[in-house]
Amino acid sequence: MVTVTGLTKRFGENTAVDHISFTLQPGQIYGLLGPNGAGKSTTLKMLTGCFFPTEGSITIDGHDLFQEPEAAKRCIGYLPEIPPLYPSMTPREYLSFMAEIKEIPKGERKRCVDEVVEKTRIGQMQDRLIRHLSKGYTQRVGIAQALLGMPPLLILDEPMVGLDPTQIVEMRSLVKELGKSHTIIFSSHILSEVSMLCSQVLIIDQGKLIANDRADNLQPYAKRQDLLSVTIGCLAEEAQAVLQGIAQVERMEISPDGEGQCTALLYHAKGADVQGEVFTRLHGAGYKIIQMGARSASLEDVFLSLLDRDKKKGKQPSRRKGGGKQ
Amino acid sequence: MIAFWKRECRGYFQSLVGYIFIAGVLCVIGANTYLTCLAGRIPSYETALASSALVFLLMVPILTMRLFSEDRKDNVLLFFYSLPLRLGSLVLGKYLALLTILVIPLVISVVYPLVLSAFGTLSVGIIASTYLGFFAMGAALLSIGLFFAALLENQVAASAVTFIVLLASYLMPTLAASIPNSALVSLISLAVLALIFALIWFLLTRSWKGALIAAAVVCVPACLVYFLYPAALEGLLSTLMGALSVYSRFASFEEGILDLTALIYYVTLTALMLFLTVQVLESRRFR
Repeated sequence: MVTVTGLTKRFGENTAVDHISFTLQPGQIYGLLGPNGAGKSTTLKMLTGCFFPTEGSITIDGHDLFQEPEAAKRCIGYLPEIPPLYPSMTPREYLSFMAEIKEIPKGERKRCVDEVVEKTRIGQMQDRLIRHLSKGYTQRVGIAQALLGMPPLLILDEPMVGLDPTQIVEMRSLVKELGKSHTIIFSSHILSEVSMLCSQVLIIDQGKLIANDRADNLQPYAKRQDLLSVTIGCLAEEAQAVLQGIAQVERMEISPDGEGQCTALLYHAKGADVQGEVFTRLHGAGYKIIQMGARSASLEDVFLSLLDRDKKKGKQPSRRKGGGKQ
Repeated sequence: MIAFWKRECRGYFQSLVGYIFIAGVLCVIGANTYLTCLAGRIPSYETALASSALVFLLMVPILTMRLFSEDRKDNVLLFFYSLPLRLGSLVLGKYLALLTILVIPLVISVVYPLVLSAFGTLSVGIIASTYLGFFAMGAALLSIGLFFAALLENQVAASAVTFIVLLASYLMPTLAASIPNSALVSLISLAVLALIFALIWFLLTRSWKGALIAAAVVCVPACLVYFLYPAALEGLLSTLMGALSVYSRFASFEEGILDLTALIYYVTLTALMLFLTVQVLESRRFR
């Protein structure tokens, strides 16, 4: 469906996106993950033709974005980070205007607008001025606009940002439903959204693509580790002193967890049995074990571990300080 | 294109700006008609109309400054690049809306000669030609306003620069008469032009190097010509100034002469400005 090769974008001296290549298969939901300033929005803007890349090529549904821009763009429905809405119009008027701009034939416009209004469930609000709508509804109007004409590829830039928990749940179910009939790529820095919705995850940091795989397959990218989580009835410093230096524990993070409690996360080599040693030490020191359990690395652990590894490679950070991002 | 035309028209009538323009133009034409034809007892409506051309100086910047500000503010302009939309059609749609607002007060003002004709004879041909000239000149000035609205991100800056440019254009003939026409003066004016050219280049590309090269491209050949063959530069200034004076070409319309060169000048200027506006918008994608 989409092939991106060597995509690069430089704003003056800053490299926002650095030789990214990936392929999107039809019918899947892809998550573009990364910390703020990583280059997610810039990548998506280039994918949609808003920016011209400094280097690289993009092919959408067989059409090269630069040789056949109109054919390629007809396949795309795009929702930018800030939805492109006119506050002085109602959703109905706005969607009719967008349908006209997208060159949907006159006879079909009303049907298309009705279709997207129904899919995004904004029927109640369609005649209220956009400036009077809540954030949740404006996001939905934005998605409705992207859906006009039912393009095969949907590109959503941070669709969940600024929504309250109820709205996030609604948005999530909408994206899931749309995923059945469209190819979707959406960017987020909220890991839970990505892990819940996406079949495949692309992780970007400082303009580079550091991971691109199915969510379940990402485990091996993390250090080959298991995780032991222990909640102890003592202070963090005390736990630190007791649990220091256990064999086969590669990393330990202890943080306070309420009144007189702390939680220790011990990253240890796969298969190593550290539970016994932890229990012995804590029992010996007289500390109460409130909870102890093993869990495999979550996407968050993978993500943090990947960022950590990427930084440790000693690459010069090309992070921008405010300016340069359009 | 039609979508943008409809949207801008609606925008102009929902906000006050459209009404202000129409009222302003009608006011000035009306006042001039009174001063010339009624109080001044000069039986020439076309003189009243012609002297109203000055209203464009103020009204054009007011009308054009909001053209791209809403789109920029609502993040829509960048979004339009993601659509299979030709920027030319966007620009044309907005320009058509400008022309629509221009036509309205002109059509309404036809009442004046109609009323006056009951009291005397009016030359229909001359009045028609004056209206044509008025419309063509207004259209050209509006295209200049459109260009600066696209080029400058700040609404106020856009209106101020448009006003200054229109004022300069209006004063060109007077200035041209009083400035000496020597080769040195022409060289200096070319240097000033180079500076303006470089500034516009910088605004489009945000690159100092590009701007310097743009300035050099104009300055270096100019200097060469000055030192090698100064006679070629004499009189260049008045030619340049003549090219930039939009108002002076209106005079022939007032006399009832359908001066084709003046009409072509207006049409070409408009086309050039619209083309440059599209280029300005295209250039943003590279930044």
